Amino acid sequence: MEYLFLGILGFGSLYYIGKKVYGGIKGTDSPCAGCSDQSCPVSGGKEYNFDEIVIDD
Amino acid sequence: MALNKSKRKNNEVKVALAGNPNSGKTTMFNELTGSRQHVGNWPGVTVEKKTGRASYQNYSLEVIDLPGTYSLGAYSEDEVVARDFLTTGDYDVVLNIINSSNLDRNLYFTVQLLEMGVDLIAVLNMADEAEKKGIKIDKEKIGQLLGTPVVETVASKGRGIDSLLAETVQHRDLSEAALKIDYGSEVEDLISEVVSMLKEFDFTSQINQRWAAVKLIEHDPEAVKLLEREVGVSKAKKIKSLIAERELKAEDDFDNIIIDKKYEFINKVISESVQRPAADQEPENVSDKIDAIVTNKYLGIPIFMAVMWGIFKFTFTLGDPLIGYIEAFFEAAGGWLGGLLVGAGISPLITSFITDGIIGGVGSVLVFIPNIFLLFLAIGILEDSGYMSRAAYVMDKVMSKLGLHGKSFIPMIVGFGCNVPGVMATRTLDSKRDRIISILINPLMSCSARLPVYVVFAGALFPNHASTVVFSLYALGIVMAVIMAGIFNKILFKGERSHFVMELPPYRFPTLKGVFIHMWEKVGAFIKKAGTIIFAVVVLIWVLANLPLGVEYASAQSLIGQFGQLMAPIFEPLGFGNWQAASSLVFGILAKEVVVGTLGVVYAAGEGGLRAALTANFSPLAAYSFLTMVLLYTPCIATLGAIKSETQSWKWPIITASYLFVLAWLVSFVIYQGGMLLGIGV
Amino acid sequence: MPLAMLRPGETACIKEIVGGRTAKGKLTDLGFVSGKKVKIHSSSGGPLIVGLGDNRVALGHGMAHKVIVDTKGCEN
Repeated sequence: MEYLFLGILGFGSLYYIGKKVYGGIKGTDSPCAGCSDQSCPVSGGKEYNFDEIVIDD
Repeated sequence: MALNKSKRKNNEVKVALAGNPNSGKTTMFNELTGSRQHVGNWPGVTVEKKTGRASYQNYSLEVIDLPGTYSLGAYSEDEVVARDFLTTGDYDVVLNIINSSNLDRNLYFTVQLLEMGVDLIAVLNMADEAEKKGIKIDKEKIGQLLGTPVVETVASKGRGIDSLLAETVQHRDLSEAALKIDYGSEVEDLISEVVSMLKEFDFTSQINQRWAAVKLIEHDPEAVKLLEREVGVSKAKKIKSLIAERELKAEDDFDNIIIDKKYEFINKVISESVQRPAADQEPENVSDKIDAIVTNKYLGIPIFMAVMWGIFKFTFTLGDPLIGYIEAFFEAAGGWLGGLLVGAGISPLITSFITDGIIGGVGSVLVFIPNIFLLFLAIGILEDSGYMSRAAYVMDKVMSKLGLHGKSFIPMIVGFGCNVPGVMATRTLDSKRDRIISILINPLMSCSARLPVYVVFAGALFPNHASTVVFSLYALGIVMAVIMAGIFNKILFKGERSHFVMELPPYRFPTLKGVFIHMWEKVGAFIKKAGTIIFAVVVLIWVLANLPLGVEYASAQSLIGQFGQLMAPIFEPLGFGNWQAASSLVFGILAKEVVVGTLGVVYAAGEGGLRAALTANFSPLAAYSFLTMVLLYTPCIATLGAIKSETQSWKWPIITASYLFVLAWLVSFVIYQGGMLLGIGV
Repeated sequence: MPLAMLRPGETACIKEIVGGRTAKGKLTDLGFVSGKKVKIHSSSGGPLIVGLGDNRVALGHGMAHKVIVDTKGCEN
């Protein structure tokens, strides 16, 4: 009985973690909640305008 | 324009916000959409795409916030994204947010929109600031001259929003003729020639051809790309040679003529519709006076340090008592719940799951919501006030001495929140070398996820100096970042030096609303993280703490104990060679808060409280050494993943993960052994 | 002379912007156009802080060299 309980929890969490880690490395998902390689709600969210000029032409 | 409208219901309106940075566009977006904004990303680039919903009467509006840019040239991703959307995106009308107290510059952008043929409503925002400066704008006249509807607003105070919504909805099918500025006979002749060639070559009718011609004459690279796509390379060449031919014969650069004529137009519009108070000299305003001090050669950096210190003090003095309450709550709840469950005959295993696992593990992380909240609040206020650009200016001097430059500063500041967007923010650096170096040192900017670890240890082992200890860690991180940047600078490939141009917006009082919206997002994300990955790891560790069946909970014989003991010897010389610390560090690679979560589970914190357990198991010196490890070592998977996608290779995340671990180990070693020798904190 | 050579407190009139497309473009976008008055607020090592009307812009030295000014003012 207890093995079942532990087993479900253990494999469930392992699966979830594995999925997130794999995704994090692929860049399609991430352990950080809501973070993907596209966006992150934990970010500063501020649009800075810092222009940089590369010597050219 | 707006030729790509998708089918929609009669009461649905899609509106895009466009304008300069510092025109109050973001504030306007917040005003219109409230907390219903959704932050995402434009595909392929790291430019924030914000969309949200607004409603007016029975209309439902989708509001798209385009990146703030000074122009629609093709100099940066922001501009390309904005321009692409304006030419081919799906929207009904554009709200051009204009800073009324800075018309010259803002109208330069407006004029570009108008020449493109964008259907827009001119929103004269920051009307209060213009009024303060004695600037009087004749709404009717300027609307006439620009050929657009005009609305006055003060987004930061919520004024004029209703009329704006009304105008927007009224003009949702707006279709204006594109603005034509007379560029003088030479350029105009060329424009006609190019336009007829475009027609001949069947250039798309989706884009205003006159505008395209002007862009081609300006040698706009995106326009050239578009031309080649539309008519093919050989025909494009014909147009390009025609332009080159004319340019050789011309007296003045076409670029200069075009800019001059644009400004002539703008000046004319302004002189006919705006009254300004007579001013012989530029008045010294408050912002200048503040800047004189804040950017002073000698005071600049100390002030910056003081400001950072202030943020800490604020976060802790206010945060600690709150944390105390939450902690006490969890402890009481844990004890009560435990007793209840045992009394009800619930299996001890399940009881343990709830008290040791969930409350001990996840609870110990949730306890830090006040700190996270206050930290981001402080940073948000600082950013909104306009100080951050001064900080970047001040730090540029220091950074150039190390071969970096001011622009690397922003990713670093962003990194204090989370290293993932910090790494992504390095996209603004053009030089590859600068980018890689900034990416490599970004994890040294202690992210908010590590804060719970610092706080819990500092609170337990350095009760009277908690904020100083935490501050010292952040400072250590910065110092190490600076040192590593210097080292990387020497050993990595040489790149071009770049210069910078940066606007210093006037200082402003941040709006409570804007700041709180951000805070809400962040706290929400934190809680979500706690409920997902942290929960998952906690569950896993708890399971391992109960296996093999029958083993004493979280003892050295449990699976987690054995796992930890495998790793522990590495950390022996650093003062925390126990399996609990070791396993928490290993799992911390999944997410830094998990370090606390793990310790919470293995020390059965649901009953006694984590702080007590730490005091019993770490000496102050060992604790500090441990914290240094947490500060400097391998960043979380999410960060490594971000590094991989930003650098498009495995090499850099691996290098990052390794060098940071080694660095952390060495520094912790020095601190612990050094402290032992000197007999401190044992 | 290039803007980079002015001292704090001095004002001048922009005569022309030199440099490559991107550099010129970025400067123009921020308001550096011929005929505008510009004032130096600070040049204590590192980038300069320059005032264009009510706007303040920080310019790296390299960029400041691309802004050619005339200290005699903008009479026309």
